[in-house]
Amino acid sequence: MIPFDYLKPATLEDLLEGLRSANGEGALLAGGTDLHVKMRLGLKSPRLLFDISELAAARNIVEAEGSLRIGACVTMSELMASPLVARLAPSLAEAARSMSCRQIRNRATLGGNIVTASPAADSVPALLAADARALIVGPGGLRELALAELLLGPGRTALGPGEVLLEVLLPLPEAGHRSLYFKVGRRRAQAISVISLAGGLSLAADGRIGSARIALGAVAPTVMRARQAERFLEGELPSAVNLAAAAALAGEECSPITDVRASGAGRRLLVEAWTHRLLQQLCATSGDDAGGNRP
Amino acid sequence: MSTHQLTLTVNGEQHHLQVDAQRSLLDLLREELGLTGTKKGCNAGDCGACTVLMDGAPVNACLVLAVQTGGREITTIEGIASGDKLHPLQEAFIEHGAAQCGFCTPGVIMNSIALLRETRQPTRAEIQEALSGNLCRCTGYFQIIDAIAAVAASGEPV
Ligand SMILES: Cc1cc2nc3c(=O)[nH]c(=O)nc-3n(C[C@H](O)[C@H](O)[C@H](O)COP(=O)(O)OP(=O)(O)OC[C@H]3O[C@@H](n4cnc5c(N)ncnc54)[C@H](O)[C@@H]3O)c2cc1C
Ligand code: FES
Ligand code: FES
Repeated sequence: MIPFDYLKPATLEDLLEGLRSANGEGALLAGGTDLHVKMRLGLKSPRLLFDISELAAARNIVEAEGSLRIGACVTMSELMASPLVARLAPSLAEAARSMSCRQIRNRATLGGNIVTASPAADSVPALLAADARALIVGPGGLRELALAELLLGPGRTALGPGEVLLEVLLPLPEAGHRSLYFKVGRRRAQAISVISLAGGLSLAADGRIGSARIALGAVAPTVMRARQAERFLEGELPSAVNLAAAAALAGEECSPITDVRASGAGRRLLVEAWTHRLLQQLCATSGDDAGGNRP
Repeated sequence: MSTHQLTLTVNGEQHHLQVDAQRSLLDLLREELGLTGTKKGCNAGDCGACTVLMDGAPVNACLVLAVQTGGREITTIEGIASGDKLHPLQEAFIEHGAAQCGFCTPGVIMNSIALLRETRQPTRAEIQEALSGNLCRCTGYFQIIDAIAAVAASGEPV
């Protein structure tokens, strides 16, 4: 491994100043569960690490101005333990719970999971299905971006040099909104997802589907929204025929590849079957399992 | 490469050390403090053999930089017996044949201590889930789960 220096800026200002003087040679270290592995494999070789794992400006979970705001350096274990996340973003709590193992969850951060930009990143479907936005700070000041626009491809984000993901903003769910998250892996824990999916849905007073959101992980270059399936459902009755047709659309509109975990064709079948299950549970009259349960 | 002054507590004992930036907590424990009970399996977060408690929470020592542990309290397998008296989990592992080659055992025990401190009466499913990040090539896990369940049932403090 190429030698590196380590710095732990005390404040956000110090961090930004440090990144500026590092001139692109620096990297952010949050939980390190992705970065250390890549550095040991020689896939990344930053000369300078900026430890942000305890950066106060990115460590809060608060409800403010119509959003649930989650600091990028909040860990998966903290997401699981947060009453605010349990109430306002239960599918995100479920995604955190489904990820890896306790030792990793105690270190791995939400920001690291997003910026790694893996198509299989477990928190991202729950965030995309909630229309999350990213609050980014950098040399040009603060900017906000839809999370879908931050993720460009495997390992690629729209973050510019010296930019830091500071917070993730989730619009508060409307009353009666339900959300669910499923992870389908080769085993139930400590497994990278074969596919993952998150959904959010609200039913109008007349029993029709108001809004439907479906996000699919590990079946396209980035986590994606199943827009065709969503459009198909909106304004429709949650009938067995409609849910099955929407699930079939989701299976068609994803573009999975074959890798060590599954074949592309197999993933497509899984998307259809699990989207169907997701929609059935979201439309079930009892809200009991809203919030997710494990496959 | 930068070097850093560091004060940390390991198994109740304070250490003042000078560490290189890329030193992992795992290498610090094994190579500088001679605490070789904590094992290095994969060095990549997969196997859990390096599990230690950092301020009470189980972490993979291979994925933590030594320099990040300043001011923190680390507990390793060497720190859990009281003098000659083994920790209840160590006793139970012997009794249930939960250690064969023993390579995974320190990590499993450290993780189990954290589990039992959080959840005094875990179900078998909860024990299984808690151990998902600790790989064992020998036992088939049943004896390990039996040993942990026995300590949970005994109500002995961990
Ligand atoms: C054994 C093992 C199992 C795993 N299992 C899973 C799994 O089941 N599901 C899953 O989704 N992932 C899994 N991962 C991958 C990884 O743990 C997660 O993606 C984790 O959330 C990464 O977060 P981190 O804080 O550790 O990131 P780090 O390793 O600290 O950083 C990752 C990357 O993001 C950048 N970065 C971090 N924070 C910011 C920020 N705020 N702004 C800008 N850039 C930033 C870093 O510079 C680095 O390039 C696993 C990893 C291991 C080792
Ligand atoms: S050596 Fe750390 S997890 Fe395998
Ligand atoms: S006893 Fe040999 S690896 Fe677990």
